[in-house]
Amino acid sequence: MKHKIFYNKKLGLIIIISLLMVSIWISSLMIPIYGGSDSYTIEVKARRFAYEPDRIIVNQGDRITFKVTTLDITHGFYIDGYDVDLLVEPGKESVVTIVADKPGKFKIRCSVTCGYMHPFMVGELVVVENGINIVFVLSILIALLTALVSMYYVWKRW
Amino acid sequence: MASSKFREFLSSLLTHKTKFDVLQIDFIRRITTHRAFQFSVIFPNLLIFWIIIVAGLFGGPVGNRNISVIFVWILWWFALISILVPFASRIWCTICPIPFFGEWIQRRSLVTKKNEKLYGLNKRWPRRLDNIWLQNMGFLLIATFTPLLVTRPVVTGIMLALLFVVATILMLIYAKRVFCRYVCPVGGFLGLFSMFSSLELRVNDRELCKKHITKECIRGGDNGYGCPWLVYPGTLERNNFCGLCLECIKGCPYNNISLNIRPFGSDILVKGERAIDEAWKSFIMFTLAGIYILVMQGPFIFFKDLARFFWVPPYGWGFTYVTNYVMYAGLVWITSLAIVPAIFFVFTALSKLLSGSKEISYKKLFIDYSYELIPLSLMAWIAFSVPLLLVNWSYIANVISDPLGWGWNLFGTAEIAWKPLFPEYIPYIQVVLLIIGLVYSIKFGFEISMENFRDKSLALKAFIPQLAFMILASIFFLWLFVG
Repeated sequence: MKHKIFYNKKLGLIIIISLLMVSIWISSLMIPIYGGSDSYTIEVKARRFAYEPDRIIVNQGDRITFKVTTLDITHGFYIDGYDVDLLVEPGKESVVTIVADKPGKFKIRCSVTCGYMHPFMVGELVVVENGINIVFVLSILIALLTALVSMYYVWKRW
Repeated sequence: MASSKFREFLSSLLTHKTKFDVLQIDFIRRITTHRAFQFSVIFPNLLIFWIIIVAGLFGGPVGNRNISVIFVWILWWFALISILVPFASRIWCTICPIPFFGEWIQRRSLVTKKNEKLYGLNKRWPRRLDNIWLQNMGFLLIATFTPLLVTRPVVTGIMLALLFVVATILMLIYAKRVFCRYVCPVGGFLGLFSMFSSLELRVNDRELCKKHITKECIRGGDNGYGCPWLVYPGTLERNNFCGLCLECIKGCPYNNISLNIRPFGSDILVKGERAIDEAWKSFIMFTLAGIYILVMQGPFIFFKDLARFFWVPPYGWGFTYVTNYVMYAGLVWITSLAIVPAIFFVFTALSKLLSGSKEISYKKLFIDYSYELIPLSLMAWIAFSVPLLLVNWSYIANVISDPLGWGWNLFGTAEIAWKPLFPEYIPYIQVVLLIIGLVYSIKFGFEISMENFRDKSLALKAFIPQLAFMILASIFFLWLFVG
C-alpha cells in the first residue's frame, strides 16, 4: 500500500519549504552581530584558557581589525582558514586586520603552549550573511532532507 | 547488468545478508590460530604502555609536551573510536596489555596452552554485578576527571598504572577476564559501539555446536583456553562481550568459527539481550559526546571555567574552585544519568501514546529505542575526535622525539611547529559524519519500531517522536559544529 506521506508531491514541497524555514529560523537564534559599518575593530582579551569575547559573530565581507591583548601570560591568536597567527605577549597589543570573506564558523585557537588546558583554549569567529549563518542553515536542511529520504527508503523496504 | 549487480550488493548490505569470513584467507587463519599471536601483539603494546606510564609519572608536566597525554588521548583515542571500533569491533581488547599480568599469573604461561585450571582463587563473579553498571559508573568517573586526565600527564600515568593493578588483583580473585568484561571503563562503551562494527566473530553452524559435546570453546582444549570472556560462541549473536582474543578459533576442532566482515550495525537489531544497563550506557555516551564537544572544543568561557580544577574564576561569584568543579561533575552525571534519559523517556511515552498500543510496556519501548542512538552517538564521538588529530598532529611528532618533555630531540621532530591540518574543513567533516550517524539511527530506529509494533502504519506513528528526538539532537550537534 502506498502511503500518502511519501507519494504526495505537493505535501513534499510544503515539507521541504517548511524545513528550509525552520533551518533559517534556528540559525537566526544567535547573539547580536558585530558591526554597524563594514569596517570596525574588535578588542579581544586572551587569558588562560579562553578568549573574551568567546564568540565573535560578523557579517560576511566586513573588514575587521582584531586588537588582541593578554590578561596573564603569552598566548597565541590563530584563526582557522584565515591565515592569522598572532603572538600575544603581556603588556603588548597585537593587531591584525582581516576581510571576513568566507562564511561559516572558524575556531580561534591559542598557538602558544600556555598551560595544561592549552589545547582547549578556543574561541569562535562566525561569519554570517545578512544575519543568517548560511553553512548552518544548509547543514540543517541537508540533515532534515537526509532524514526524510532515509525514512522514505526504510519505509519502502518494509 | 553491472548496475543490477550493484543494486543487488546494496540490497544485500541493507538486508544484512552480506558477510565475508576473513579466516577463509589462509594467511589470516594461520596467524590467528598460532598460539603466539596474542602475545606477539600484546607485548609490544605493553612496552608502549610502560613508556607512557613512566612518562606520565616522571615526565614534564605540560600535557602537549608529554607522550602519555598525546599518545593516549589523541592518537589512541582517535584510532580507537574512529577506526578500530567501527571497522574491527573490540580488536583493541585483542592487543590491550592491561590484563596481561593477571592472565599470565592465571595461566602460568605466556604462549603455550597449559592446564585449563587457572591459578588464583577462581571465584565466580557476583550475580548482581553481572551487568555493565560498574563500567557505566567507571566511565562517568573518568569523565568527571577528563579535564585533568587529558591535560596532566601524571594523572594519565596514575590512571593507567591503577588499571593494571586493579585488573591483576581481580584476576587473582576471580576466574578469567572479569576485569575486562565487568569493570574496565573502556570496555563498556567498546561493547556498546562494537554493535555497530563491521566485524564479528560467530559460529558457522549452530547445530554443529549444539551437538558437540566437548565444547572446547568454553571448556578449553589442546590448542586453546576456554573463552576468557565467559562467552559461549555457539549462541553468540552480538559483539558486546566478545573481546576477540581468538582462543575459540584456536580451540574449535571443527573450524566452525568465522570472523566475518558484515554490514554496519547488524547487532543493534538483536533483541534477545537488550537491557537497561546498556540503555543507560547509550545515554551516557550520547550525552558525553555533546558535553565534551561543548566544553573542550566550544568557546564558552562559562563551561571552560567550570572544567578548570585548581583555579578560582575571576567573576567574583563567591564560588571556590571546588564548588566550581562540583558543578562540572554535576553537569556530567546529572545530564547523562537523569536529564537526557528523562527527555528520551518523554519522547518514548509519546511514541507509545501515538501508537495506541497497550501491549508493549514503557520500559520495553524505552530500552529498545535507546539502541537506535548508537550510530548517532558513535558518529558524534568520531566527529569530536577528528579535530583532536587534525589540530594536534604536530604534538604527536614532537613527543615522538621528546617523549618525556625533557627537551630531547631523538628523531628531529621535537621542534615541528604547531600547524593544524585543514582546520577550516573540520566542521564540514563533522557535519558529514553526523548525518551518516543520523541515517543509520533512523534506519535502525524504524526497524526497532517495526519489531515492536509489526504493523507498518503503527510503527511509523510510534517512530515519529523518535525521529523528532534524533533530529533535535542532530541540530544541537550541528550547532556545535557549524552554528
